Amino acid sequence: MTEVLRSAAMPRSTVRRKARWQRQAGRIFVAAIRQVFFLLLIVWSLVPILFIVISSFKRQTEIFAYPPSLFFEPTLQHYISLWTSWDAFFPTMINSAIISVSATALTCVICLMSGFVYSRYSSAFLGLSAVYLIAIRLLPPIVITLPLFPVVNALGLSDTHMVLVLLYTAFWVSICTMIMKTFIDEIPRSIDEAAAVDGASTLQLLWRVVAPMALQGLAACAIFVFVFSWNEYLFALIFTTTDAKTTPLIIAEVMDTPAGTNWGVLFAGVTIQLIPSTLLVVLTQRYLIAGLTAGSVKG
Amino acid sequence: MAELHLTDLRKSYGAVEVVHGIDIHVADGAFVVLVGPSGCGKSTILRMIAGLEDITSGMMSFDGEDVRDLTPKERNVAMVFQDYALYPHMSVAKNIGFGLSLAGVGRAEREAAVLETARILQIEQLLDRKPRALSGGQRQRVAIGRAMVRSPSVFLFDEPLSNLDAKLRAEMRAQIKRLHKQLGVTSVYVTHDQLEAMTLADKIVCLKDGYVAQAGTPHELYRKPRTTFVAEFIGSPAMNLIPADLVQDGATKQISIAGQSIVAPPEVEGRAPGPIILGLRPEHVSDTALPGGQTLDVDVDLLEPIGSEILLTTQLGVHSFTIRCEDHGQFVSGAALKAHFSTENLHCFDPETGLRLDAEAREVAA
Amino acid sequence: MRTLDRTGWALIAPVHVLMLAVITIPSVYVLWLSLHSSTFGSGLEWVGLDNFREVLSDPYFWRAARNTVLVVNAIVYVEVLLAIGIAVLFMGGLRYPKLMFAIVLMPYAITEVVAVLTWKTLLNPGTGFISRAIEDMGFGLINWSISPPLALGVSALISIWYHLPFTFLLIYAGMVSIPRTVYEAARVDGATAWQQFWRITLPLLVPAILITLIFRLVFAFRLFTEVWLLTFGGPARLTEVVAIYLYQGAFRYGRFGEAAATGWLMVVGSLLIAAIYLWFMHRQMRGARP
Repeated sequence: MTEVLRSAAMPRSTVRRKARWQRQAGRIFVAAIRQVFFLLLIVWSLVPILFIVISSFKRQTEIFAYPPSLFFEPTLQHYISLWTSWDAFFPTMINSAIISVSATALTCVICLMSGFVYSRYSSAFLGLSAVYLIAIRLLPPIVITLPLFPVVNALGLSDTHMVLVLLYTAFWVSICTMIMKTFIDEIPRSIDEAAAVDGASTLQLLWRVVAPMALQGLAACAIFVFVFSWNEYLFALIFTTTDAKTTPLIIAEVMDTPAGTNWGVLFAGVTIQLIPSTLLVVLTQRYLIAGLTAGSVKG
Repeated sequence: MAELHLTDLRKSYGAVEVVHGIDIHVADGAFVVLVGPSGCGKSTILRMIAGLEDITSGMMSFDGEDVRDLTPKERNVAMVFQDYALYPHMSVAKNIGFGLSLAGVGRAEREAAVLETARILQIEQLLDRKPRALSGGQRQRVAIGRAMVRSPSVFLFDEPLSNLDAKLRAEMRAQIKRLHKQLGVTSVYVTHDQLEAMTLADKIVCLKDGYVAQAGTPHELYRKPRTTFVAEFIGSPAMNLIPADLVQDGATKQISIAGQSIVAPPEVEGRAPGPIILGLRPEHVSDTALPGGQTLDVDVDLLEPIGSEILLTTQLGVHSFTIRCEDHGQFVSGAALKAHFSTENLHCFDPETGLRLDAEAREVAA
Repeated sequence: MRTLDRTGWALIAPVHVLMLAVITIPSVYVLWLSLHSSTFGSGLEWVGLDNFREVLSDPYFWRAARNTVLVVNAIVYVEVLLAIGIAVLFMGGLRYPKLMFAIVLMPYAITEVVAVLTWKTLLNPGTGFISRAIEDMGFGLINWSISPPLALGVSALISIWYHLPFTFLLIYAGMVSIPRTVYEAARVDGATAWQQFWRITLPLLVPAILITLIFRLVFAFRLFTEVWLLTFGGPARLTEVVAIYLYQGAFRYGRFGEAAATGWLMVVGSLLIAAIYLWFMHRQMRGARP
């Protein structure tokens, strides 16, 4: 070996060693710290939600007992009251459901089509508009409520489902197009060519070949749009009042009433409201993560 | 420099044992190649030597010192990875010098060492580039440089040439051999390519399913493969292995194959008549007579010319029999052919165990 | 690659028509609107740059802007640090990955309204058990309803809690894309876990961190619900952020023209921030070339 290399070498015996027990102790220590942090993470994420959910089953007087008790006699009285006395609540859930499902379906269909075009076609327009689609996300949504407010009123669309469906779809359609494009990019062009040779038109290619293969992307988009629509507050606040009121809106109204809030019933309502979106997120987390990674690559 | 001893080494993942009590000795300064098909455990063993995997049981020592509890750094090993594993955000110079910088080696010393290494590998002009601006072969040399610069006791190579094209692979093979000659560091090299094993190794350890099938010099594995697996694995094209029968013909033993009878080699001594597997390498067969040789009648089926030689796929009875010999355009598909060979090039194996008839049944120590 | 034919145009028509009608044209209109005074969007009268002058000379605007900048910075840096921490935790190995991811993602699944509700309740000075626990531990009463800095702090907390899943996923995706063998090479080269983090993980994570920072900054700038439902911008408009200032201006006072001006200032503000970070990123990438 050359002299220079030899001088830079580190003879094994001079390197500091750790005894086996030190190593074991170190490993256990690190593992313990990790467990602690995992626990903290779980507490941080879950305690706020669990507090509401658990409280909805507690008697009114127990909800704010201090220290809070984990062992109690559960009661369904709040849920019953929710059903019998809070008339306004369940109609808002129906509104939310209609709006969310419609917005999701609309977005998925639109973005399947546009994602396909951005993936399979090329033109100057497409290049520029792709940049536009991404850049438009920099615009704060609240800004466009200003011009839309009088227009919506004039068109008689105020307080209807339609207005929120259109707004939510418009809000998500740009990023979902890019997500779909990323997923459709993964489908090899040779499949398109095989379909063409088999006699498929572009539309047939899209609906019968590409769409089934891009289901993962559609799932991701569907989850994003549904969760957003189900939970959205600002647009609902501005554009709906009674008929198309969504659940987040009514929860906000009630939580704000001084003194007279029936916390138990409110918590019961909240618990019910969070079930669909939470279930969706938990069960489909794989698609969410895939969609986010695809979206961020584009970003 | 180090002498490695692996004794009764075992590795399990949960309840599944993947390396079964292997023994390997690597002499100081030797180049040992672990070769075998995917899943035979060679990479696992290499990673255990590196300290990247825990040893489930068994002994491992460098120069007599038990290293099982030592981290890779403390073992003073260096490793060249299959995907090079270069640090993408560092220049070539920084990549090579990373280990030294971690150890606190002074800048001047470090830069000199890096420059020296780059010179030896002929990559000095690449020192300021990032990995993404390098070709596969260049990246491989940087990876080797990173390993070399720390003057380790042991070099470990994990299938370093698999990602290169054939021509580059041949070049890099020669370079690695040259480097070993120049530096003389104990090296353990893992590959699934028997050609790399044959050309690079001082000693080959042929592995299958977590066991050592055979260990020895390339010459030994080629001349006297211990099992049918080794016989087929080493050498290209693979050795012909054909079921035959050992028959007693008066005082001598003969082999009956495809209705023909040939003289058996000496290793059948002490073996009772019965079924055996006969082995004969394609390159040991010729269409011209050999002094003191024997013949078998075959029918030529396919011709695959490969330049000055030709590969013939022939039919020996119901079996396929490959021949490799000089090509003068003399062969015709469908014609009958007399295949000439020497008795000493015959190999006989037991059909059930796959062991050579004169091999010992116990697992071998490398 | 095809060039756009009739079918192609037909397929992208819905996207562009929708965006044009709902976003593009309205945004341009907002610029127009900002140069007029208007009541709830009608009765336009040209005022030129008066709206901008009004807004920029309004102390409430500057307070809102200051609040926004403070809160946004607090949010973004704490969140990114937490996200990196959680990502490192996850990278070390998960026994029940599906469960852990589900737990981390939970806050994303509920509505902001409920997020504010829960923390408002838990931190309620008199009745919330967390605030009472803090009191008992000797830190004193956390009465954010009368202390604007505290209220903004609680809003920041809520926003961090709510958006952490998103930030975490972005950072985690970045971390996961670092090949494992690079870490092994580092181990063989002698790097401790700490050294591996500082000299391999972090440098390679910089692009992901920058992208996350930009996204998060731009989104955090629009902070509304977390403050609105907590304090409505009060007491005495002391906790207003820019989005609330805009909302009040438009929907309470009906001054759409000024609100439009505010809106454009908001856009410029977030673009400026995005531009600064993009410039950093550009320099980083550039610096990578020899």
